[in-house]
Amino acid sequence: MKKLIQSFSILCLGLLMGLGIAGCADITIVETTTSDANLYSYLKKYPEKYSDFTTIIDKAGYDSFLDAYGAYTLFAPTNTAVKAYMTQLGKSIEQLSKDEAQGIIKIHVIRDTLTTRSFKDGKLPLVTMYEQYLLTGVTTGAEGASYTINRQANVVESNIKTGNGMLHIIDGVLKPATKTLAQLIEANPNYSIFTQALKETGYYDTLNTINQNVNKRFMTVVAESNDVLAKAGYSSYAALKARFSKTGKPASMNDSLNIYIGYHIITDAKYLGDIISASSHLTKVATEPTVVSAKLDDQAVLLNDDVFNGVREPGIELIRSASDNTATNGVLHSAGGHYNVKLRLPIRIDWDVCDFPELKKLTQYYGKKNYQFPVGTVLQDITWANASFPPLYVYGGTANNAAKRDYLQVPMGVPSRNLWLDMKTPIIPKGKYKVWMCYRRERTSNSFTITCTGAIDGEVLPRPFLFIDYVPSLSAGELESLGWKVYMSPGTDNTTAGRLLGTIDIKTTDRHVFRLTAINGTHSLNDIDMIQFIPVDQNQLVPRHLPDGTLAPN
Amino acid sequence: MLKKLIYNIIGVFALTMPLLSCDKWLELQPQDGIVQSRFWQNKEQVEAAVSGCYASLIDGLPEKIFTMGEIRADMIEASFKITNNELDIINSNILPTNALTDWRDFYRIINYCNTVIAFAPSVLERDKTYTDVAMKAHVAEAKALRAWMYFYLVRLYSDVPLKITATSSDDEIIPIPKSTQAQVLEQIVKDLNEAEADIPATYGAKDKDHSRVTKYMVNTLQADVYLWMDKATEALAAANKVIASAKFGLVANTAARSNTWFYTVKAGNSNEGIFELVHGSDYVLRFGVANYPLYAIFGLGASSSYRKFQATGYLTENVFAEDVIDPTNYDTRGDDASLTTTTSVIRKYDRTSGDTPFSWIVYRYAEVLLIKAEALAMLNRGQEALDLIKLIRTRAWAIPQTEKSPDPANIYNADGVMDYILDERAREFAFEGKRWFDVLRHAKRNNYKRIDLLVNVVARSVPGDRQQSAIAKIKDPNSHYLPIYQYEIQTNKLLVQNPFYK
Repeated sequence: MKKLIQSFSILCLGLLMGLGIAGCADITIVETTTSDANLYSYLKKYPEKYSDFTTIIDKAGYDSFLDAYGAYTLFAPTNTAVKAYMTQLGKSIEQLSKDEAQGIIKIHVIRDTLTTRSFKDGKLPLVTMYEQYLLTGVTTGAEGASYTINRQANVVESNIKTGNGMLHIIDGVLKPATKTLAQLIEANPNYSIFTQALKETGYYDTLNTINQNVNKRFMTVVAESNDVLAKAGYSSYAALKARFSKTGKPASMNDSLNIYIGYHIITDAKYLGDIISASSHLTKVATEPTVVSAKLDDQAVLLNDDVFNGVREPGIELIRSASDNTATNGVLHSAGGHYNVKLRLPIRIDWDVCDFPELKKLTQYYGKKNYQFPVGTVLQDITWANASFPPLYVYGGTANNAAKRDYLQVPMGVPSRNLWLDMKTPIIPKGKYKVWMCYRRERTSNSFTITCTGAIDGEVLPRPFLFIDYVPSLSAGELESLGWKVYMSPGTDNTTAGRLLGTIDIKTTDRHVFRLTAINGTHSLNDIDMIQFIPVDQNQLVPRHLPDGTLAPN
Repeated sequence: MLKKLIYNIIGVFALTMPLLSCDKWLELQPQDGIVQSRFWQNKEQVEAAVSGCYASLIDGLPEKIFTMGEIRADMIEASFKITNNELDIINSNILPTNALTDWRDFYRIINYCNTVIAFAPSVLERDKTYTDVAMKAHVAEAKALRAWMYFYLVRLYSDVPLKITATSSDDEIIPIPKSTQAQVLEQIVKDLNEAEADIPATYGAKDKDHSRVTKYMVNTLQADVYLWMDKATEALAAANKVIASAKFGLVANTAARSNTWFYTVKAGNSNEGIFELVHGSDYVLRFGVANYPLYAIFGLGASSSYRKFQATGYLTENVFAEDVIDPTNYDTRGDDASLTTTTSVIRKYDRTSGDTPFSWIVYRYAEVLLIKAEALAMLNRGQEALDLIKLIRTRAWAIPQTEKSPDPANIYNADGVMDYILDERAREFAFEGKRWFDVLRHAKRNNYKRIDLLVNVVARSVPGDRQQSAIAKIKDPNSHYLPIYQYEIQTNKLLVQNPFYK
């Protein structure tokens, strides 16, 4: 009843409105698509606030493009801010040359519309027209919290939408960085040892150039102050050189001092907010690709804080207050401790695929009973193609002859189930390894089959394998020559199959991505116990594993 | 129902009037005077209007108060069905254009209450069977509900327009400026004191005593409001009134470690419940889902693609923790009660098919005890406060890992009695829409002496690449309150935006 009346009244309303309009309203045709002012016109509307900035825009000859169709973000300083800046400069606006005026405007304009939603602890996603990044942040002052731009200005009014872009009003003029990374480091007397090392290794020049190609221009330096070096036992450059420079020629790329400095330079402009958003970063070490790992622990940004082969190695913290300094060609951070490349020799890695944090947190399941990850689960280090087929953790109890008596069951297959499954490996030191897929053989029924291949960082390992294959009944030596082994002790259970996938040359000491790809068949009960990376020059067969998770004596 | 209908019709005519005027095709007299005198005729109509206030509470309010009470705190995180507006709040990126900052849900209910308060007395003359006592009781109910709504508004927005007259015609839609938080709180206290005098202690039936405002709901609300105002003596007195009534108690859980007590509480009408929002039997029609009404935000079991929010790791690891030495030990409020730890699904409000949906528990006796503990602590009676926490923990079979033994003399400092109360409230009232207000209340006490509580909440719940910005923002007290929604700012020129959202 109510509905009926409602719809009737809406009908009436529509009818009467139609009558009303037709009856007496003049029809005006709107000829513009929007009545919103564009950036420049908007500023012009409030001369009491922005006249000085618009004068600079006029002077630069940018009034027409800031009023034309497009998508920009403009940070507009108020009159007070511009006046303060001009006093500092010792000039009046009239005395600015066209180039100077253009420079001032360019650092305030980004070619995209960015609202405060894009403001993070770090750089804005795009460079300004001046080709420098802007750093955003928040500070709390006497008048409350506000966004800051480049630590030079506070945002006093934000997200003003104009016809051709987003306008933010700031209380200071943005000043582009004028020093290169090299100059920035040299200007700080507390980096004197580090500066000398930069000069002697030749990296000073690298850090002092501005590459004309914006995509290759930016670098990030993590500098060690004299205090940090003194604490580590190097109170002078001589002491540092004596410890590191084995060849006596720091400029040579094989010299350890050269490597030490190269390790402190990261490619690309990475503010702290960018550093923590990736787990490792490529450095400029010249001899080979080398990465430094990064993470956020509570509020601390840590470098090289890793777990290697089950042992936690504490890293160093970046000093927030002394970091995030913008240079013309990159960012400068300050290290809270001395750190260097870790020399890691190839070592046998028996990667237990059930050893990941989300599973270990489930203490009532991990090492106790099966756990089916629900559909929709998101794991940090494991991803799979088909959301409907998440992995299953199987804990088999004493009857299960697998290492730690558990394994990860991953449904694979074409076209149903998972076409691929990615897992992030633990840290693998640079070197050549044979990769062994160690699985518990299982098969639903004879109508199912599954062939998979493995790949590391996209490089496909040559040997496909089937999760449904038993270890053939051959001697250990014969098996190895065919790429087979029994990975569980004492080496008789033919359901505990180790299958050689191929040899891989790991180029960087880092965590890598192992991808399992289904190439034929479909099957759910694919039980991965571990994936072994065994250096090529080591024994590939022993030691074998015991079900309690330890290694059997040879 | 009838009222709504009439309003609809008036609305249509009111809208069309100006359009028609130039035609003089159809001339109509304003209708509102007639409607008012036709409606407020007898006591049944007053009853209906009061029922309307309650009905409007259950429509969407539980989701609103859940979201607003939890989203800025550290116990829920985004899941698959999260919307951009919600994500922005989680990322500490609140803008006045965010529709979740719209306060109209609260003001709509306030206006229903204002209408009852304004017109119920006039019915006395027209309906001789309507007694003065009954009329005063109706007004008291409306005043209590209005106070409750304003209590949400001051905690969410701080300064808000104080509208205490009914808007029953278009002439009365006038813009009003914001009142300060202190002024609004004063009105809340006044409303509650007046309500307390006239409101019944019972409505003669168990379900009505839980779903309608009683004297004890008023007292509990008073205690909560006084805590927010840092008035410990008054809060203690109000809490003691509820306790002294001897009508309530904790649902017992003595025999063995089991979380069934919790089902008794959430099923409603237990001796622990003080005020509950009851989902009527027509919930399927009204919410469009055959499952429980909050299904859309919590989902169920493995069907995670349906949920907006899920429990955080902080909750399972730190708040409820687990007994690593003896895994058979568990907090009965944790796994399988408030949530499922393995899937992070929030379970506090789920139901098995066929059950009527669980009530939304607004206040329960456990909260009165913990409010009392907080008031006692403020009065430097730390040991008595600790005894009350112990009572709550014993009933819940809390585990030794979450037990603390603070120095009873250390009230406000880190790891003191107050921190323990805050932690225990997190366990006891997980997902009951209280966490953000609890943390804010503790943080702001003594001129923001414990701002670190808020900083910690933000540090662990905001994504890493926004963490430092979020921490800097939370240090500005204005950021603790929401912006006025853009629509309101545009339509009411007297409103001044919270300076944080410049």
